[in-house]
Amino acid sequence: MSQRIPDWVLERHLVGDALPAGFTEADLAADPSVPERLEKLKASDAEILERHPPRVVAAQVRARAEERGRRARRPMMVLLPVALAGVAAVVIALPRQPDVLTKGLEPHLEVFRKDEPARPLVSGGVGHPGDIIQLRVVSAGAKFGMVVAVDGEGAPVQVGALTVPDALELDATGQFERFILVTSDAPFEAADVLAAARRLGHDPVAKLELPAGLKQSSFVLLKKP
Amino acid sequence: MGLDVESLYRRYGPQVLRRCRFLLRDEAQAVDAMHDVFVELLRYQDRLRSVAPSSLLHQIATHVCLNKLRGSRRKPEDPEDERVMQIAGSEDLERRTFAQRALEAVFGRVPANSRDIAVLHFVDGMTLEQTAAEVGMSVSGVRKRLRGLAEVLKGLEVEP
Repeated sequence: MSQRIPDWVLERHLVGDALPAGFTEADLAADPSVPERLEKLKASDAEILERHPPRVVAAQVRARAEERGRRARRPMMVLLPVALAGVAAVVIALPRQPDVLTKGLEPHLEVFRKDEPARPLVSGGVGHPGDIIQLRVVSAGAKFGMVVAVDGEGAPVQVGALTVPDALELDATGQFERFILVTSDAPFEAADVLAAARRLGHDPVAKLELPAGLKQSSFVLLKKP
Repeated sequence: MGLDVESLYRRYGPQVLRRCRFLLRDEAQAVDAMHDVFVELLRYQDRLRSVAPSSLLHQIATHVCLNKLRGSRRKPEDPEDERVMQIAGSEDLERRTFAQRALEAVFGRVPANSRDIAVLHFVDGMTLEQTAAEVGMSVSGVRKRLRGLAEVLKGLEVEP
């Protein structure tokens, strides 16, 4: 057998771990490219360890791990309590957006990390406890709306009604955080939306059972420590 | 008893950083990802399986980097990079089930993430059998996952 040994096998050989099933030392010996590739890897090892010294990296890793541990122990904190307080039963009028900008759009949320406002997050992507998250409502012509936040524990919902981007700090509760934008062209009962949200339980993709005329758009962040 | 991060890094760090460089194509991001890999190793140290650390770190690094790549809009540098970006940007089975905690999968608690599996198979060139051995799943389980992903991604074919 003289097939080219894959890089991942060579890496394993280099650190002295057992070779994966299906590969033997004889296979490595039969591949003429192995000696040169190993030398390159060794040179790369030296370069990396010199540029990123083990003692320094170990300290950085421990510091990051401790910081994340502290964040994970903190409860969810709403950074703008004044903006969010008391809005559980309020449906607010959404700001008008020019028709030329909203034509063809459906109402939805855009979600960002506060420190990366130019990079919208993707629903289904990952958020870390401690991340500061900003929501932007794209009303797409809808006149009224509210945002419901549900964590992965299926716990009572934390609710906000947003007119401008607010900021939330992700906590470590549950496996995900879900934001649901509910919109309508007419005023509606927030209590109906809240009741529907409480029925969602642990399901991160189920839709709210809403009265006719209401639209919903969901955004989910998986929580990763 | 805590892990000896310094010793682990000295032995495996270069391999991890090369992996992150390969997947992310950005030095600063790769170094950041490498730190994350060892942080995750610390976090899950009590659940470490008795597998080769290099295999474990390879999987963690793959997962961490794919997460960083999700939503990235940079242009692929070559066909291999394009495939990685394609896989990273895909909405795979986990979007529907959300049963995964992919890093926990790496530690054997739940089935592995389809995107992570796809990179091992389609990018690293592992066979179905090798991929299955790496992630601790059956060959048929790996094949099923890959087919699910291949349905939504062009150019990926899973051997029968």
